Amino acid sequence: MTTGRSAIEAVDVRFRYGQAPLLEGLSLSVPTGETTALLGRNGVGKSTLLKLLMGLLKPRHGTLRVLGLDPLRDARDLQALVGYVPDRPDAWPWMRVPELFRFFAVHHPRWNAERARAWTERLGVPLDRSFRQLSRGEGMKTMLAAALAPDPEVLLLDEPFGGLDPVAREEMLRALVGALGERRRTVLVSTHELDLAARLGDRVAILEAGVIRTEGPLSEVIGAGESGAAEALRVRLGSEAGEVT
Amino acid sequence: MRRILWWFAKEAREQRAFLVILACAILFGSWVVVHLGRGVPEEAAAAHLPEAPAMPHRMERNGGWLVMLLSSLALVLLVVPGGLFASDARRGCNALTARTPGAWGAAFVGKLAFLWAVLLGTLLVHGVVLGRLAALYHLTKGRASVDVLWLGPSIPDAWNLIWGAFALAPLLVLSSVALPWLGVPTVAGAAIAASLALPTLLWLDGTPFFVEAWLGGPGPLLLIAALAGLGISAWAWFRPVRLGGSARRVAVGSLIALGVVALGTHAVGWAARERYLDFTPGEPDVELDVVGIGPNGRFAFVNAYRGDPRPDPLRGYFAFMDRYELNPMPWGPGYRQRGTRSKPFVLDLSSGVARGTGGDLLYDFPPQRELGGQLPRFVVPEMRGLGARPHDRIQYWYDADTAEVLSRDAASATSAPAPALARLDAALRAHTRQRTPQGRPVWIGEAGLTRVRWQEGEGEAIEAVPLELALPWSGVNLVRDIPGGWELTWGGHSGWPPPFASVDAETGVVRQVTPDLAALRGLLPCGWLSPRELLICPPTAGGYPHAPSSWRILDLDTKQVRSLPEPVGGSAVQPLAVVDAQRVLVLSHTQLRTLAIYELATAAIHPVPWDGIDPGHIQAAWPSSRNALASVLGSQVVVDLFVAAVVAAGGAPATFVGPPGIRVEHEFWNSMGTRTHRESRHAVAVYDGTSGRARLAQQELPSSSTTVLGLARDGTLWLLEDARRIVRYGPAPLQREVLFPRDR
Repeated sequence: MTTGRSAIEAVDVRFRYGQAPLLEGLSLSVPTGETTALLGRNGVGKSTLLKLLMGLLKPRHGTLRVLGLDPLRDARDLQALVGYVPDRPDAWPWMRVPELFRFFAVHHPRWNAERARAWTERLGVPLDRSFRQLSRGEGMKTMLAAALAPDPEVLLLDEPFGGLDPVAREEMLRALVGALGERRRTVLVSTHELDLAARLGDRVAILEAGVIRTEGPLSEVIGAGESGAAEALRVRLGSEAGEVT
Repeated sequence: MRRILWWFAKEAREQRAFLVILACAILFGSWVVVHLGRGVPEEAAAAHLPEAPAMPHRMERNGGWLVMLLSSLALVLLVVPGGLFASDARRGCNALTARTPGAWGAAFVGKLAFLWAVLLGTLLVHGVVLGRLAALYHLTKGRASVDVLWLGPSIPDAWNLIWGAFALAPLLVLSSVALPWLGVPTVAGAAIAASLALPTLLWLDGTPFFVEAWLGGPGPLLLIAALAGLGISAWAWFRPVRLGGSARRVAVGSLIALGVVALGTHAVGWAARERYLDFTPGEPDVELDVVGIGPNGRFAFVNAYRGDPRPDPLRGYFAFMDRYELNPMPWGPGYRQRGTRSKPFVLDLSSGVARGTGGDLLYDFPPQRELGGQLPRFVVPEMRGLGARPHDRIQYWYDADTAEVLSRDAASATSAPAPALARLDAALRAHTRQRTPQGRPVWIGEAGLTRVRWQEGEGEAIEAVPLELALPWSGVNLVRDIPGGWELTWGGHSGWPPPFASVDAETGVVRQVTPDLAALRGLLPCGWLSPRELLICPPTAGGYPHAPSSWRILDLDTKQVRSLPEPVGGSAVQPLAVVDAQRVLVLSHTQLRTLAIYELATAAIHPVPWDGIDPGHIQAAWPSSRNALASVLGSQVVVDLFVAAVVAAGGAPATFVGPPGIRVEHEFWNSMGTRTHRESRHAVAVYDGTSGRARLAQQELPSSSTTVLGLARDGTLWLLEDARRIVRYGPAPLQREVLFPRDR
C-alpha cells in the first residue's frame, strides 16, 4: 500500500473514543501531488483520520506519516507544512480577520502575509468584521485563506463545504480548484458528496466500518460505464450524496 | 517571546472588563479603609512615611487593608483561571491553537504569566492606591513622595498568604484545564487545590511544628505547592494532544489521578496529624505544665501539649509567659504558639500511669480567693478543671488527693469553697497579720474588702465589702481600721509608691485618696514592719536603676517618710525579704544575713546560719535571679534560695515553696514556678523565717530547666525537669527519683 512517492501514509491505524471503536486497522496512501477525496458516511471517522494526520489525536495502534514526518513526534514541523481547514470556523469570536492573521504571523514560521491578503481579496472575505459577525461561508473562506497563506505542501480539508449555501459552496469550490491549480500539492479532502469528489479529486478512498474499503482513481472506483455502480456508491455514502458529474 | 506576549495581550483583552472592575473595587475599598483611618499598617507607615507620627488617623496593624488585599487576590484566583483556560475550550478555539505550530506551549506559558501578572498587579495597585490616598488624606505633612506603600514587609504572615496565592495559581489553572466544560471549574479546582495543599491547611490549623518538621517551613512548602501545581497543570494541558481521545476523557483521567493523589495526601496527612495530636504525657516531645499536686503527693494535675522539640527561647526571658490556651491571641513580645493545644491529664505518681480527663477541659489554678492573690500553685487540696471553649464554660472540682470529681457547675458560679479548700483558706488566713480591733483577720481580695466577722451564735463568717476602687491583684495591700472606716494602702512591687485611700467601713465608698509620694518613686515596698509602718527598700538588681539607695519607713498615720541610716556595706546590702517586724533578710558581701531594722544605727547585720553548706565557701551572691529569692555562688555550686512558707491544710506532707522575689507580708502569693537556665551546677536552699536558719534542700540539681513544685516535709524536693519529668530529689544527697514518666 505504501509507496515511496506517497505524501500521506497510514498503516493499520486503530483508534477509538472511549469504548466505541472507530478506526480498525485503517491503511491509506495518498500519492504526492494528487488530490484524494475521502468518502464516507457521517461519523465513520473521516475527521478523526484528518486530526490524527495533523497530530491532534494519538492513535492506539498503527503508523502515520505525513511528508515522512510523525504527526506526534514532529508535530511542530509537520504543522508548519500542512494546511488544515476545519469543518467550521474555530477562531475566537471577537477576532477580526486581520487579528487572526496576526496570530498566525506570530506563530507560523511559513506565514506569508502577502498571500493571505491576496487570498482574502480573491475570496471576498470582509476584513472589518469579527468572526462573530461573519457568516459561516465567510468564516470558512477565511479559514481556507489562512490555510493557503503559508503555501502548504499538504492540504487537509475536513468537510469544507458542509452547511454552506449553494452560492458560497460554489465560490469556495472554485477558489479551492483555483488553489489546486496554482501549484502541485497533496490534498486530502473529506466529504460525503460524490460530485465534490468528482470535481476535486484525482482519487477517492471510501472509508467504511473503520477501514478503507476502496481506494484508487475515481473512474476505477465507481467503474466507468458500469451500470448501477454510482448508484450503489450513493447508497453506501448515504442520502446526502450528490450526483456524479 | 513574541508568542507569549501575543497570548498575554489576548488574555488582557478578553479579561479587561474584570480588570477594570477589580481596579475600581480596589480604589473604592482603599478609600473606605483609609477614610475610616484603618487602612495603612502601622509598620508600613513607620517604615515608609517619614511623617508617620503626624498622622491624624490611627493606623492599626492587620487592619482592613490586609483583608481587602487578600480578598482581591482571592477574587483574582476565582475568576481569572476560569476565563483563561476554560473559556477557550468552551468556545471550541483550542483546536486552532493546537494545530498552529508552537502555539499550544506558548499559550500555556502566556496564560499562566498573565495570571501571575494580575496577582502581582493587584499587589502593586493596592500599594499605589494606598500611597496616593495617604497623600490625599494628608497622612504626611508634605504631599507624599510616597507613591507606593510596600504592603507586606512588616508582616511576614501576610507575605506567606500572598506567596500562597501565587503558589495556588497553578493549581487553579489545573482545574480550568481539567474541567473546561463545567460552569464552576474554579470552585472544583479550589477543592482540588485545597486537598493538595494539605500541609498549608495543617499549618493554619495550629500545628505548625508538625509541618515544619515535615517540610522545613512555609517557604519550601509554598515552593513545592507551586511546582506541583505547575507540573500537574502542564501535564493536564499537554496531555490531550499527546494522548489523544477527547479532552473530556483526559480530564476525567486527570481528575481520577488527582483524586487518588488527594485521597492519599489526606489519608497520610490527616492520619499523621491525628497521631501527632493524640499524645500521652510520657512521650518524649510532650511537655507538661504542672498545675497542681495533691497534698498527699500522689496525683499531679497537668496540662500537656506536644510542642516544638527545640528549646523555647522565650522561657529564658519570659518565664511567666506560658502558653495561653483559653483565648490565644498573638500579643506580647515574641509570642508564638509552640505546638498543639493542651490536654488535661491526671498523673498517678505512685504508679506512673497517666489518665486523660477528656473533654475540652484544662486544669486551672484555683480562682483568686479571699487573700488577695492566688493560692499556692502546686500543692492544693482541690483542683479545678475549667471548660476551655467559650461555649463550654463549666468547672469541675476535684479532690486533689483522690482525683475524684467533687462537683460540677458553671464557671461563673461562686459556689462555696469545698471543704479542703476552705481549710486551706483558713490556714492562709491564719498568716494574715492585718486584724480588726477585735483581732479578726481582714484583707483585700479580688471582690473588694473582705473581713472575718464573729457573730454570737453563728460563729466566724467571711464578709465582703465591695469597693469602688480597682486594686491591683498583686503587690502590697494593707487594711487598717481607722475611725469610721478602713484605710487601704496598696503599691505595686515594681517601684510605684503606694497610694492611700480611706473607705467607709460599711458601704465601701471611697472618702479620700492621698496622692502619690514622689519621694518614694523608684523604691520598693519590702513589707510591713507593723500595721502602721511600711519598709521601703532600695531596688535590687534589675530594679529601678535611678532610684535612691536609702532605706525608708513610711508611717501611714502621718504619711511621712523617714529615712534610715545606711547600713554598713551601703548599696551592697540588698534586701530580699522582711522576716518579721524587726528583721530583713539581705545579701551582704556574698553572705546571707539578717538586718535588724531598728539597729541600723549600729549596723547590726547577722549572718544566717546554714545547714548543709559552709558559709565560708560562699564566693558571691546576687539577689532575685530568675524567680529564686537569691542565688549564691559557692565554691562549687550555685544555690537557689527560696523562702519556705509552710502552708497546707491538715498537716499535708507536701508544702509550698515560695514565693519568689521580694516577699512581702502574707498578702502576696506568686503563682509562678522557678526555672533555672544557667549551665552550671545548682542547689536549692530554703530559708525558714521561723527558725532563722537556711538549709540546703538539695545540693545538686541538673542544669536543665527546672520548676520547683514543692518541698515535702520529709526533705525531698519535687521538681519538674525540662517541662517533661516530675522528679523527686532527696532526702539523701544525690538521691533522685523520676516519678513520671517511670521509664526515664
